[in-house]
Amino acid sequence: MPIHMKKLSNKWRTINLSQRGVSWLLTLALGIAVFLFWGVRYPFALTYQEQAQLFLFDCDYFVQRIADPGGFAIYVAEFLVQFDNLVMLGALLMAFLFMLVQRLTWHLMQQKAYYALSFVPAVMLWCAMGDENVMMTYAVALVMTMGAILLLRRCQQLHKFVRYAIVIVAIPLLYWLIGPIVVLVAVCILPLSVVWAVAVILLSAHYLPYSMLRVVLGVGYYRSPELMPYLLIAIPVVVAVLYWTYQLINNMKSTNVKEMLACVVVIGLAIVVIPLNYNAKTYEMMEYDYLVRVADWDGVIRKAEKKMPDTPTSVSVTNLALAMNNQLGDRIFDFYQRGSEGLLPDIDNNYPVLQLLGEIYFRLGLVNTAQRLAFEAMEAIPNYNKSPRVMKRLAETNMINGEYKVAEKYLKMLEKTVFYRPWAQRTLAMLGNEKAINEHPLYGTLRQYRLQEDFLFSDRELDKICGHLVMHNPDNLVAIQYLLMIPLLDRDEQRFMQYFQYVQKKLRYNPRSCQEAVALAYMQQYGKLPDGMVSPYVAQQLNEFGRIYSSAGKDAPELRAFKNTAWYYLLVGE
Amino acid sequence: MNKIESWLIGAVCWLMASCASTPEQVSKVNQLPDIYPDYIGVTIPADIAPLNFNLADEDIDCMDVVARGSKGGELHTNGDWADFDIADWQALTQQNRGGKITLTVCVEKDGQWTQYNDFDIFVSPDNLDEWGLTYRRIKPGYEVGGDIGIYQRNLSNFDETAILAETVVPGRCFNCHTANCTNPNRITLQMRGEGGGTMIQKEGKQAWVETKTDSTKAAGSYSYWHPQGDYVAMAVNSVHQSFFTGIGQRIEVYHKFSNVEVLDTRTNELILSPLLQTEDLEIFPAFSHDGKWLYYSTSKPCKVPAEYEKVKCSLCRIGFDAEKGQFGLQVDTLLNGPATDKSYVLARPSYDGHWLMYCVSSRGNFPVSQDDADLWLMDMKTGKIRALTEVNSLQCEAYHNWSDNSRWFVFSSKREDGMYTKLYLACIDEQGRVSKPFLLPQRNPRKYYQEQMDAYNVPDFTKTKVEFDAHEAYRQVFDNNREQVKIK
Repeated sequence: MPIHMKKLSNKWRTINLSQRGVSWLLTLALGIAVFLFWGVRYPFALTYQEQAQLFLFDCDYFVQRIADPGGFAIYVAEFLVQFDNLVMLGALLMAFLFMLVQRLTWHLMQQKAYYALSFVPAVMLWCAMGDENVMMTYAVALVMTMGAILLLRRCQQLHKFVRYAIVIVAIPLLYWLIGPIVVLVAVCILPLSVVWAVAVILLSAHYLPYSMLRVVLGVGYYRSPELMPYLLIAIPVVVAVLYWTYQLINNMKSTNVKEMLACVVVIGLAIVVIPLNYNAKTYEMMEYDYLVRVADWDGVIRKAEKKMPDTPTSVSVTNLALAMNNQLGDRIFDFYQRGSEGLLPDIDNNYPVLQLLGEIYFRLGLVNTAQRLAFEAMEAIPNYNKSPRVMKRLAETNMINGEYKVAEKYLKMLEKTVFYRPWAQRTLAMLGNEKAINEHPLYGTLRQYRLQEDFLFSDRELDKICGHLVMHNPDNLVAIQYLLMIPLLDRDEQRFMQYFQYVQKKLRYNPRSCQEAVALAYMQQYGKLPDGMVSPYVAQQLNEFGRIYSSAGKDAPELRAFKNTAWYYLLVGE
Repeated sequence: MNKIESWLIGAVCWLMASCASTPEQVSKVNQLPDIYPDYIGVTIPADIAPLNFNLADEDIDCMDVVARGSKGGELHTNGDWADFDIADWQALTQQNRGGKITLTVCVEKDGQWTQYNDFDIFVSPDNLDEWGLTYRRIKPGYEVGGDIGIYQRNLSNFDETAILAETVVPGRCFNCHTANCTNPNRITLQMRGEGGGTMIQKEGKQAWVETKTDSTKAAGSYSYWHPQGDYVAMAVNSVHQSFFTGIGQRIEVYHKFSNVEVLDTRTNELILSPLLQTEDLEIFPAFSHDGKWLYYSTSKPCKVPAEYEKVKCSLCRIGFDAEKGQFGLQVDTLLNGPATDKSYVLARPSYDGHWLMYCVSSRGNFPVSQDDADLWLMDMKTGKIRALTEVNSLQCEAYHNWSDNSRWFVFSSKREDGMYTKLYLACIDEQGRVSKPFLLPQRNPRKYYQEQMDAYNVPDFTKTKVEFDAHEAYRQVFDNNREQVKIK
């Protein structure tokens, strides 16, 4: 071995991962990894969490929160999650929390050997948080629990009766602050006191307005009541095992090689296991949701161009973005389509879907329907938290409708938040000011788009509703695009031609897909192309398509070159 | 708000009591103070919680209020809003029963004190004689059930507790519970969807039954107890809603079918009448004070939702013999909907047999969704009817119910903002004179109502606190063991 390699090898042997400096470096590495993960890879996951809660700087809000067991952890978590509005700050807080989990685990392990094992709960937490319904409250409660164990461990030297007294008092108190994870405190400090902790939890369940199961699983750890992923139960178990086996771990002969090996195993496992817990479809939906939220229509299209949208949500969001950029008629078949449901999906009781659907109706000018879906979206949040994004939409729709008193109600609430306060104040100043609202680029336009005549919304007649919107205001280009594309996606050429002819009377709107559909309809009916309605390029393409289609049939592989045409969608399909 | 929250809020309020300056160099203005809620000139029962109020202007520094009774007694409060001590307030109202309380309001703004004209709150000689109110709180959303709950509110203070909240029975939607003439010894409620059923609680014991049979189209709802406490009248229907796209209205609620039946809770047998099982839509049954009549509304079947504007309900009644458990053989039409081009719904007879209160709107059989729904009153002795202009507004009034002594009634109204229903109470004397209604008092009314995201519906008085084991309800709902009712 060359001398320099030997020196390096010796140097490695002298590095002890459990040494203070090195250990802090590894902790920092964890923090950086977590920060990059949420700040760069999944920033939209943070904004998704942020929009599903409404943290108010208000005494009553604090009181409401701490009226529940674990309420203090809920309050602190919600306080932290509001900063997810600024993604980098949210990611930083997340990194800090994970570092705390790891360092506290290390302290519980008595800080002697096998530093890598102290990363296990943090890695498990990282995996668990791949489930978007795992609340930050759980992470906060876990940190508080470990902190409480370390504090109470200092009482071990006291007389046993004093110790018992402290535990008897501390457990109900901690239970109220952090929730049923207090059992971990009992397990670590005085295993017999688990009986006391369980008794306190069950007793409280009798008086609380929650089901027994929900109280036992924790009111705020998971967004859906009465559910709890196994991983959230496994984490405290692992912490307890590490705590109680620390002597065993410390007695195991630790060498640098073993330490290094343990480290490699933990990092390797983390690299393999963490991505498995982050469902690609779910996070894709979150990213689309974020892009819609900030009205980044170009961003939506860019994303769709990178990976073909294939879920109902992604397809409808892509179509909305195309419509907002006035490209729907030109590019609709550049992307996968699945009938008119891809334009206006069915109403579903799912919070993100309701929100996205509401956005489509809002942009179309169906303000009442958007408001209705905002209400539904708010109620569809499984833990009944309020959403600032939805509240904004409720304020906007009421303001557009001239319902200023109701709009004020929502704006006053938003005024009590950190990040929505400036917007709320600006909008409050606008209430009642008809001129300001009418001149607002979005609200004023939507006011003009709104239907004046009352009729009942029917999701079986969406094209007719779009027709009403177009008749009411021919400047509503989004409605025009939807009106024409609904029958086209339903493969109803006759209806399409009817709507197309109507639209032509109002304005010259003849994008590529319309030309294709019109050309096909004329060819099928009259055997020739219409005059002046189809560009030479489309005509030439149709000839080519027709030649292949008639000679080799609909299964001809050459037809795939026409995949982005109306002809392919109408005649070949998927 | 549960008890824990009440205590905590009380403590926080006490700790945070902010302004405490006393009026100096006061300038008087010749106008009444603009207060929220508008309690100027209202009539209250002596046993009601303090009528705390805020100044409409949110930018004041301090408010100083002195309340003087016409029969003696004085009360003073000073702070961000008029927040009276509960015990002191009730001592004052009891002392001034049949008299009035005059309030002097001084407001400090930008360092300057202003005194407004005094105003009166009248104290009725009639007590409320009720422990409180029960009601359902529900988001004014539409289809997703959400965080609904049935609550009870102690009317002599500000305590609100859940009788049954959605958090106890997650994912379930339930109708408001119904007590027998404000007595919670007998209550019933309906739960919809999976694990649904009808709960009948007698003397604290819950029984869950399945009221849908082969001969009836759905489970019972919109219940009303027979005064003897053995029978419950129910409507059997299918409720739907559609939403307007224009700028005027929001929602239309309609029923595809509806019949009326009575459940004998002793035998779990349904009593049907061919007169109440017709193709027409019979809905919202209510027994008369003596139990000899069953009031209900009925409308001709229409192709809803398309023909929603054609739904016009008449108000009818049919005899009921509680001894035999039989309906009469004839229906009397009290108010004819199609003939008057109106819809008469939600008949609520007073418990003393003097009055019949009901909703009148231009159409429909679900008045809370009709903006033009108003309360009307029929004198059962003379048959005279009149609109209750004293309590009606341009927005919807509905869901009225009587106190046991029939001197007070509670109703819901959307008058404040057109969307969130709130509860109002008003009194009526022997001659049918009705007082100006007052909004259900809250400790800090502006903050409370501004931040309240729920609409109130189906309010009713309750003689005593409702004792209901919500955890037992959870067990029953998820066990899904229902006794099937039979047809008598």
